[in-house]
Amino acid sequence: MSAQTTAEDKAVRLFTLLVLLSAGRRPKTRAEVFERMTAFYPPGREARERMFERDKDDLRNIGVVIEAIEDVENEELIGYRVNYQQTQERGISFTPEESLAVSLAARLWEGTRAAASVEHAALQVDAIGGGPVETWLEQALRFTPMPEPVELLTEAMRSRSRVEFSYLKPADATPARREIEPWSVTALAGRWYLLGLDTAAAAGKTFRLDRIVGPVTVASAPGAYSPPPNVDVAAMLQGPGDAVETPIVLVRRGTCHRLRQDSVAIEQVDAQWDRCTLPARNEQRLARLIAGYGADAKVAEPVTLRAQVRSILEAASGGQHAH
Amino acid sequence: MPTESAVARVQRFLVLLPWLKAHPGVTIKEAAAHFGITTSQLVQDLRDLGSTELPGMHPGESINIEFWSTDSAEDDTDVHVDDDCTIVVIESLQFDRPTRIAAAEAARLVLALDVLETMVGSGFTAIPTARAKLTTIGPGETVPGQFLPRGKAPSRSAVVATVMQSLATGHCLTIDYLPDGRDEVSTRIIEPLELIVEAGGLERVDAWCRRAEEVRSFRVDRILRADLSDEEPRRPDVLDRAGALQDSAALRVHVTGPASSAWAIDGLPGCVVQSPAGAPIIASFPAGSMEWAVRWALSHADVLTVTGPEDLVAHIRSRARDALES
Repeated sequence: MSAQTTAEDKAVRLFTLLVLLSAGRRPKTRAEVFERMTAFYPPGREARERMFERDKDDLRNIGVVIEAIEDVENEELIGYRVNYQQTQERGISFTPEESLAVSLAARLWEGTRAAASVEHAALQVDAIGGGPVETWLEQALRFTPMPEPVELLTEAMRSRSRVEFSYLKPADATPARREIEPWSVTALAGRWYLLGLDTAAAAGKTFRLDRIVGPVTVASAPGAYSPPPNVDVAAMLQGPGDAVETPIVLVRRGTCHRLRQDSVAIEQVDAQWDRCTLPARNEQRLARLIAGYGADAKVAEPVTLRAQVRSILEAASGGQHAH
Repeated sequence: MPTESAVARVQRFLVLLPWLKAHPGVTIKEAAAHFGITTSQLVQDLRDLGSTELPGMHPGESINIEFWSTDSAEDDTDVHVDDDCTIVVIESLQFDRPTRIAAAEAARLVLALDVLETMVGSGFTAIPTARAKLTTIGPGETVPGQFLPRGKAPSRSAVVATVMQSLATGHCLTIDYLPDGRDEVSTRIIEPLELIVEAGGLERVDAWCRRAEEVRSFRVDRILRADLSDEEPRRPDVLDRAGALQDSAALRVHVTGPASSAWAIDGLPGCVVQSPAGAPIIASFPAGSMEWAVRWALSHADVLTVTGPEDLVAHIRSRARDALES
């Protein structure tokens, strides 16, 4: 049989080589490989040696640990053997529920360049976890694609490499270059953010990924920095501004549903009004939400929040209203 | 799959065998769907795996896979193999565990699990444990263990769980819904078709709405309550889903303000900014209802001024005065 070259046949050749090098503990010599795989390797000595080298590299690149076994005394190469302990994922096990969570998570990467390799990793997890095949999930869920920089930023965070990009603030006319040590990539309310140290400002900052102009590039070798141990991601996303503790707002019955939705407690005051106790919030943002409801919402406390709502409404009244 | 490389195919072989071992009784159709390949490609893969027998090998030294048809539990390899046959791995040699998961992929999965958790909330306890396992992959490898703020389980997680349950079982849902445009809660019966997930928690469910008699898109964070219903589904077989995201722009709001207020209109759907970047703002954007437009304008009155249309400006002023006088 002549040497076969198509991708289909090459896959079979690679896998057959893997099976051969995995069989038994005894390493296989090159001569033995060529003898037992005559159907796959070309007859010419040089051509088959080259092909064998390439095949070994291909298998190693997908994580197969092929050991070259040497004679202890004269250090001569005896042959090759696949080390299964090192090749296979043996350190961890997953439950069916965990592997379902991982398969779902992998779908968030759909539509990105990393999609195929992440999908493969999820299949690896599922091959450990097992459990039912939830075919309905394929139909029933659609994920909006992750923004492009997430892939590079995740890898930069893993390898601890600084990144660089142009960033356009909404009030600015032109973008500015930034160099960042990434701490976290996160999403909130449908928007993606990068949190990290702005090296020029020497301070932790939050960046919206949709305001990055052009590509994100790696700006240092791996291991260039250590992120601080306790980054308060929630506080950084909340942004500057005072948080207001336990605001209490009176809301007209049958109105202000978003305030009601956020409330930790709602009590009836009388036939017209309910009293909503809200969780601690950024004061300015809460003031905006309350101002939007006009006369249907009245701040009971604190007074600072009441003053903020009042000043927003005064601006809206056309400036003709007396203080 | 003409463009698939031989290496990618071998990679699949290496995960296919342990996956099949972990999923006994799986059919050809299910396995092909899970791997994202055609059933004929899968059958070819399995036949190729079974053909890696070499001269000089003993029985039990080669891979052995059989296809069993559903009606008879007999070896069916020589007969017609259809998509509903189950795959039975008789011998998988040492290929019973997948190869090691690369640290870069583990990091990507950890990030995705974080995002998933913000969607479905803390009710899905497998998320933190799966994440913990993935962060320990490989000695000497760093996988960031945390991308997102923890401990903030969104209250809507129960709603997401119920929507997923309805999608899995085909049940109708009874929901209390607070639309964007009106400050008013309505109860309706919907038949969910698809959950559309946006990172960070802005998921929508596309569903046949009985009241509107058409496919509508519902924001999950505006579903105040969702219960499975015993009603029989009665949506038409063929659905027009094009109009699900309704853009019923009743009016266009015109605004002006200083350049520093640009954040307030940033990201508003359909917003057109006429002024150059960095200059005082002149812009307009669509609003679904007068009520929504007034609420938006009151919320942002200290940073942007609404200049038109005239009736909107009048509404804003009178609403603001009412509030200040009450």
